[in-house]
Amino acid sequence: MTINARRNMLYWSLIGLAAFTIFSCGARIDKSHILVIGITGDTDSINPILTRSLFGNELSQMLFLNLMEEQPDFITFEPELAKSWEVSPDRKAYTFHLRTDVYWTDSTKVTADDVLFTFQLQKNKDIGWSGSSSKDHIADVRKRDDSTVVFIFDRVYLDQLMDINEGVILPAHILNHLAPEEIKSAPFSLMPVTDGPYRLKSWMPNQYIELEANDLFYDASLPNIKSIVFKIVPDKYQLLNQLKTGEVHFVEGVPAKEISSGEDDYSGIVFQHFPYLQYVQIFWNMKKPLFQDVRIRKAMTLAIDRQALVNFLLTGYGKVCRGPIHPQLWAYNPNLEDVPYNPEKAKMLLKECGFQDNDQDGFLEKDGQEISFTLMTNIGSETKEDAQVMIQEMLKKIGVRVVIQRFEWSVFVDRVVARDFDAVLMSMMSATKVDLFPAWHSSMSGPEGFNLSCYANAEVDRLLETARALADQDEAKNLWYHFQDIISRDVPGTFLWVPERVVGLDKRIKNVRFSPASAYFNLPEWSFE
Amino acid sequence: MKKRKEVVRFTNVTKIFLPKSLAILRAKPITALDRVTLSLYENQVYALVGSSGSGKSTLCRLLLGLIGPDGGGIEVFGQSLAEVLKQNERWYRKQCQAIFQDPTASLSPRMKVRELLEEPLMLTEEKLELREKEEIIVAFLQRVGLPENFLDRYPHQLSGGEAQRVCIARALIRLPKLLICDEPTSKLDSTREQEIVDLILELKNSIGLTVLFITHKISLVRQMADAIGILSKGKLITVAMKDLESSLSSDHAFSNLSGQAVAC
Amino acid sequence: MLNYFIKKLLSGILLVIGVSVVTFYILRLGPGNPAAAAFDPNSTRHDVSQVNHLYGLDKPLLAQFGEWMKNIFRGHWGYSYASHRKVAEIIRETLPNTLILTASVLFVQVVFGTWLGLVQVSKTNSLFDKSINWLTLALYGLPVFWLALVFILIFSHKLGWLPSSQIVSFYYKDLSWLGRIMDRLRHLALPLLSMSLVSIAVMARYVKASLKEIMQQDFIVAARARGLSERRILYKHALRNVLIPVATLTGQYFPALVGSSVVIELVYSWPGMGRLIVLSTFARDYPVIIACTFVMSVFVVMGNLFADFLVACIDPRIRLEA
Repeated sequence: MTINARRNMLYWSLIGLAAFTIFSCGARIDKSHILVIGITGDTDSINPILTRSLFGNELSQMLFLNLMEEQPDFITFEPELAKSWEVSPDRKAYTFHLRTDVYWTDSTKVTADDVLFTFQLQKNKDIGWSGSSSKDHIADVRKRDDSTVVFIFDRVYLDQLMDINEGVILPAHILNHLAPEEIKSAPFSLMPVTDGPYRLKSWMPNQYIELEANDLFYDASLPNIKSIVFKIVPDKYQLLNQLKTGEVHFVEGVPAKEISSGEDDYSGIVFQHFPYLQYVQIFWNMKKPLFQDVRIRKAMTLAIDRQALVNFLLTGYGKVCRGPIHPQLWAYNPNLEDVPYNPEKAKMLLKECGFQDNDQDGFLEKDGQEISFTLMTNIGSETKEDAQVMIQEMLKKIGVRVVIQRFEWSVFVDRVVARDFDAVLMSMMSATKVDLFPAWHSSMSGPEGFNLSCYANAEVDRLLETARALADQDEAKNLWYHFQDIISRDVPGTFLWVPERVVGLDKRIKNVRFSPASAYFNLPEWSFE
Repeated sequence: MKKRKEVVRFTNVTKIFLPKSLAILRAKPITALDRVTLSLYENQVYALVGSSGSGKSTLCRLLLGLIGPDGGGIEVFGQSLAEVLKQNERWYRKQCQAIFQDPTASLSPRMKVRELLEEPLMLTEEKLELREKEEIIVAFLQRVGLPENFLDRYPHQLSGGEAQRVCIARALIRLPKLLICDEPTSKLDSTREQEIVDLILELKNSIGLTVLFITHKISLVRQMADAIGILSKGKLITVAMKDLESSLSSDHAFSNLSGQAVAC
Repeated sequence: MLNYFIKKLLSGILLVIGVSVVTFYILRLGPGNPAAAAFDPNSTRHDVSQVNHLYGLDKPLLAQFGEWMKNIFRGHWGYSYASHRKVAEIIRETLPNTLILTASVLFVQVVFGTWLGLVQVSKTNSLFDKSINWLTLALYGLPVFWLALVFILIFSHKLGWLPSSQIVSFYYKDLSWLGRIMDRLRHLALPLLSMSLVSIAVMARYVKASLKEIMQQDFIVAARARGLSERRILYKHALRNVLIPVATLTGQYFPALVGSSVVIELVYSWPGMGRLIVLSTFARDYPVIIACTFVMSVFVVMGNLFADFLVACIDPRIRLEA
């Protein structure tokens, strides 16, 4: 027995020792200079030409250079790879003068050849670059000398610079001998040669993306923070917990409710918010008989208390959205007439259409047919799922039955593309380019287009065609204002809200500026206190 | 008649089992043995007969010290069994060995015959050389009529009769005084049965074993018993000596039982 | 014996092929498609048909299947739709992580489960036995993901002892070899704990039940009658026999383990195949899903085969008769 007891004691002390070592043997490595950014999903690809995701594009901005730097007003540009540019008198030729002190991380110089090559790649159908349509009107790119390129357009319009700038410049000398299929498996797609402020140090898919300062970067003073780690934690709440414990220093897209309910738990963390290019709206499918009548669509809009949605769901981090153009864009009409919350007026409109509650069940009918429709959204967004329920309640008050439908993303998109819904509640990112043609032109009602309401209005069609082709901003602005007026009169969709992006960050991080398109807008300038 | 030494004596032994399930709800105790009194003398074969459920196995287990009695006293070799188990268990375990109904099942399925026979040796003799051990094992194997090459067999590779022989060898290897046979032939065909019975009888005579032989076969009782006990519903009804066979055959209970036994 | 395993192997191969074919068709017949899954609301252009064309998904189903089979036999796993990387490369990356996790769970399960069951039987009706009994019963019914979340909450967020996600720290490469091992163990601790607690409970109860049954058998009674010590009876006679059901259970439990590893990998951001298969399913990343199901079914079949083999090794009755 005593031998057993002694042996048992030995076992337990060994186990204890092992446990103690595991617990206590934390890192003895100084990582105070490393910025850890928590994200919920990995990039689909490190290669800018292959990525289709928002984060993939943001990552491209850190690793590579564009010709110019798009400013948060989405109309002006600052020099980046191109130190200057000029426009021909007919505005069909844009000449760019490249910096001569920019090198790829393999010490090869960045030249006009890279710009030319990138253009070819972007237009290549077999690559299937997601931004390829931005290059539709660029007829040719010519190299004048090693540091001068000319973009030739086949027409003149407002967003020529923006279209030129779309997509980062890629290294021709690495990729030009590869067939499209080979680019996917090329070493470049795992460990790219870059020219931006950062270079990729390592990528452990679905774990970490590690960036380090590019010591060949032309601006030797940047970036301030030399090491950045993106830590991928799919669960948002787990990520927020890691923010609390200091395991991560920066998380974007914090749910608004989290701040109002538990800000005290976050010591050493500040929350900042900025206007974000996202908007949330309901599209009424005008192919369905119910929504063909403008009075019905208007009644729905009148009956939805959008301010209440913003107050409750966003706890104030956002505002009611009035029209189809995002308030952050220059074409937004600030004086646009809003449809105020007015359920009484909504009831009157419905009555006008012949809907009455004949069987006293609280829901209206016409010709024995109850007024009811399905409201579809995607699974995985708490805010939208809550909004669905609130809207269902609000519409019940005016006697309209709403059936809630939720689908997993891929199925949801399939149904949206096929216009297989009565009404869809959707959140989207607005493009930085003001061109509402794909979203509202009648020709865009098919699977290729974004006209989800299947809205068709000859006047709007004409406006959209004209406005996108205008070269003068003021002139274009007028047309866009007019367009917004018509849309808000016709209510093909109900514009619910534009949220603000909430970011939680370590108090030590300074110099952070955001753009409505990205939380990492000036990442190289961030610094630790 | 010469007075022989008493090896086992049961005095008014009672054993009661409480049904395990629903013990609180309907605790209807089962009296497995009811004031059983019996004596077993040296170098005698005591045949215990009874139908299933009559308490034979309970008696057997009591004697092996696997369970304790609820009343009465058991004496072995002139001492109280409880005392012996408390103070000198090793000694008693050596004196008293048992073989069981299902020979194959009572051999560890994952041990070879050699290991099976080696184990009791390890318990008794403190230090034996490997060669000595092997010799003893082979000797006992041969004693029960099995060839040496059986040593490397597993129990499932033995026939029932062979397995029972191994069991007997395993019991004998510790040189016991008392051998308890709990229906050792019930799973065997009649030829094997006869062989085993002959073996036991032969061992009894040559080593001077005392045997408690539990069975329900009249033929075996007639053939080997020096004394007979009949268990029925926990009661030891008749104790009859073989030399009093005439009175035994007229005994009411036994004829009753024999009818039962033949029937089953 | 050899025949038995050849038969088993053949049926295993058939099973794997069957699983792959069924997966292939179910994926394509189910709602959603890779292009829709890859659809990013950030883009105002959406190119569902273009993406489908790129992936060859606009071809008839049978032609797609033929193409896929042809490629498989040539050893081409194809490219992931979601990450554009070689499927084989992705599998190579994730498979070891899943194996590390499941192998450690198996190890812990067998060792601790058997030990617990053994101690319980050797101390039947003691306080230890009873408390372990209740504990294992409670664990038996606990959902693994819930346990995982609770452990994160306690050990990671409240106490701050152990990391709650990833397989190593990002500074892993800068650590010494000892530090690396420790780093891996620290990250393994919580997933292992939450996954193995339930399996240990399952195993302990199973071992206890089998042991109890074994302890009733004649040869144990016979051993007792011969005066062997309880310890010797348990370890020498009973334990050997309980290893057979343990091996069988381990083989049978393996698929369940692979299943629960999916959940655990998701909760702990463990970059294994379980998590990969879930992410790929949402992305409708057909080549990756099929490769994952293929590899997983191969492992399940092999696990079963190995368990059979183990049983045959442990149990002389099977070894010589089958």
